Amino acid sequence: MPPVSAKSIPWVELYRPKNLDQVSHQVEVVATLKKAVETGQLPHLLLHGPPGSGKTSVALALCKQLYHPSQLKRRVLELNASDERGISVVRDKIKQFASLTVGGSSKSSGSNKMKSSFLVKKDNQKDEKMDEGEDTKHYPNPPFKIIILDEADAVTPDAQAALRRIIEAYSNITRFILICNYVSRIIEPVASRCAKFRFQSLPVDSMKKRLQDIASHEGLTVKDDIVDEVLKLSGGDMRKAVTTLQCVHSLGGSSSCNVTTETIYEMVGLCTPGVFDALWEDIWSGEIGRVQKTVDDICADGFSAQFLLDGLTDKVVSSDKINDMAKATIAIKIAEAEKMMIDGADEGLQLMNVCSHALTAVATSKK
Amino acid sequence: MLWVDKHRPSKLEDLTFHGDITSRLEAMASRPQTMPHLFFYGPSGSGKKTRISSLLRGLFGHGTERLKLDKRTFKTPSNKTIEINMITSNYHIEISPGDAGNNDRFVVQSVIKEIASNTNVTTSKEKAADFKVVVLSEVDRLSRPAQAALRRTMEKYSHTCRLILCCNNLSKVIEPVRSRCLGIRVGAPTHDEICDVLKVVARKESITLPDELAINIARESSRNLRRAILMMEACHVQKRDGLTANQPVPKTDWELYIAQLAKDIAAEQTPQKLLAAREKLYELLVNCIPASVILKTLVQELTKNLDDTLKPQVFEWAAFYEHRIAMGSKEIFHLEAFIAKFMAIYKKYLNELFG
Repeated sequence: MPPVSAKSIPWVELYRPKNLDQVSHQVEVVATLKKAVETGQLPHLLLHGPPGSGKTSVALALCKQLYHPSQLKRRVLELNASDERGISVVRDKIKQFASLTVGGSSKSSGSNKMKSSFLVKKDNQKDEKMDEGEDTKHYPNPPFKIIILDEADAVTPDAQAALRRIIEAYSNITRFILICNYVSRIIEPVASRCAKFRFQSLPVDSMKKRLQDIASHEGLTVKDDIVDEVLKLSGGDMRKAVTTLQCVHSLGGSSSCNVTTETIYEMVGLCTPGVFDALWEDIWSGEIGRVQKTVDDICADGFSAQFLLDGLTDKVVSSDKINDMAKATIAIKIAEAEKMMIDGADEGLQLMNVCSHALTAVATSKK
Repeated sequence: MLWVDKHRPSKLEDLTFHGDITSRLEAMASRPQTMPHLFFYGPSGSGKKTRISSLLRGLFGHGTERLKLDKRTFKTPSNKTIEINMITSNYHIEISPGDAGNNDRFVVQSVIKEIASNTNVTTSKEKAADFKVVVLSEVDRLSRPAQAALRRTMEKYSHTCRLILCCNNLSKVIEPVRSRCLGIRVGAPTHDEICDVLKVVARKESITLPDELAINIARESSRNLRRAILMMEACHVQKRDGLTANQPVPKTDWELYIAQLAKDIAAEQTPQKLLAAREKLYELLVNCIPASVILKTLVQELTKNLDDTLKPQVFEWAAFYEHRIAMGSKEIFHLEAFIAKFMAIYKKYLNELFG
């Protein structure tokens, strides 16, 4: 990789935790993994949790703490959804890497020496220790390699099945770290071979602390209400919060003067609260013509109907003017429309359908 | 050259409406180092592509205007070859990976990696940013695996390449991809903004555009600027000797055709009429009008003169059948089913009304 100025690296990458201590909030996971670093004993891991909660960061930080930087390339294989991960890759690439014995020094990493015998391996390890001397002392450098399978829920069930045996067969020299959002998409036999760690969405205060750290590091002064808004909209997703903060920086410069809360709404692709209010008022008025016009305008303005439905749900549920029956009918319609939109149906028509149902429900509830 | 292309602004400072977006883009172009991945979304004809190309020009200078069309072939692991067109310049590359259909994942995986792994040959210019840009259009057509493939790539190669995504429908893009980008909502221009643009174009073409006609065109264009300019050009072609205030705005013939169809359906609800409607539908489909567009326009026409009590039902069934069109494979069935349903609803209503 050619040298690049640190400036052009997005903050999300730049401020990725470099060791386990820097990881925000995930106390239990970090404590357990730190133990693992100290003892050099590591089970297979399955990290799961919502996006932006720090799963990949923890995995990378762990590897960085286990191995000397010069070893990192040889000891860690990172595969994610951007790589081809069909069953053939599991059979060839992963299997090959997994079966490779550890400690092949740079000289012997040629493909013909891959099947180096156990004895040779031991020798090499000794050599290495002598070569790198002092440096490696800080690293436990445990005698196994790590394969990180990021976004493992996107791996096909077939390929996962192929993993089952590989995980077991090479467990003496290879550890797997599976990372996914939805643990239910990992087949049970694979999941049961790993120690599961659930990551929680980050709470507001620990995110705020991190954002302020980054801001002060970048020499950016942000008003408190902007930070709060960023946090509110990111919904516990650290990556989103940091990206938004960077966007605030790149738009407004170091003083973030011309950034309003509304621009933040737009940056993350949400509609401004005013849009819901207008729509809700139209539905309340009971004139379907007015609703139709508003819905057309909303679609023309490019707002995403899916977020609009989110907001509408809040409005409906919290409204004290309509009865529970009406709320239920509207909620069912919203759910149906959401599913249809995901299937690829037209947003305008679905939104119109929801709104016209809401309109009738509101009208009956008024009586 | 069509007026739409001829008068398309190519510089950031020439962009007419959405001043707030323009100023944000200008801020980005002046500090290329801090530019994040971008995500433009908004309805068609609102100027997303225009903004992207002006931003590229702002970032890299004139070089982005020297475009060439490349045809690339890829081999998938299952030994299928896919061909895909891309528009490239020295600084950026533009593809719409949705064209590759089911195999879009491989395109995303290979193209971006390839581009990202070799850095930009930066010219001596100080201002030029030291990264390449990949413009992916129609991201909403990308399959889920392809979008998943984007996730990590966007992070990993972010120092050598920036992505600019462009799509109409934000909700079809998965959250992890959205959260990695700075979203820029490009709303459709309002009627007044369209009028202003039309006047500018008219002045450049040195024709006089009466205010009434401009307003009419803007109203007919359903807030689509591209369409408005095309309409004005059509008006101009019809009346070479100067535009008049009350001249009719030409509608496209398929719209008129659907309007006629809607009239027929509302006039008489019988199996014979349904059969006649089938012919019209086939005619539309043969002429490559997408089924969902037919349905939407039809609903609009049908609800124009409909009693308010019936509208919710019509919308419900329209939404229902439009979903089926998206899911199913034979569009004509669902279109016909909708018309039959509408006829049934309408007939029942008439019977109750007149006994």
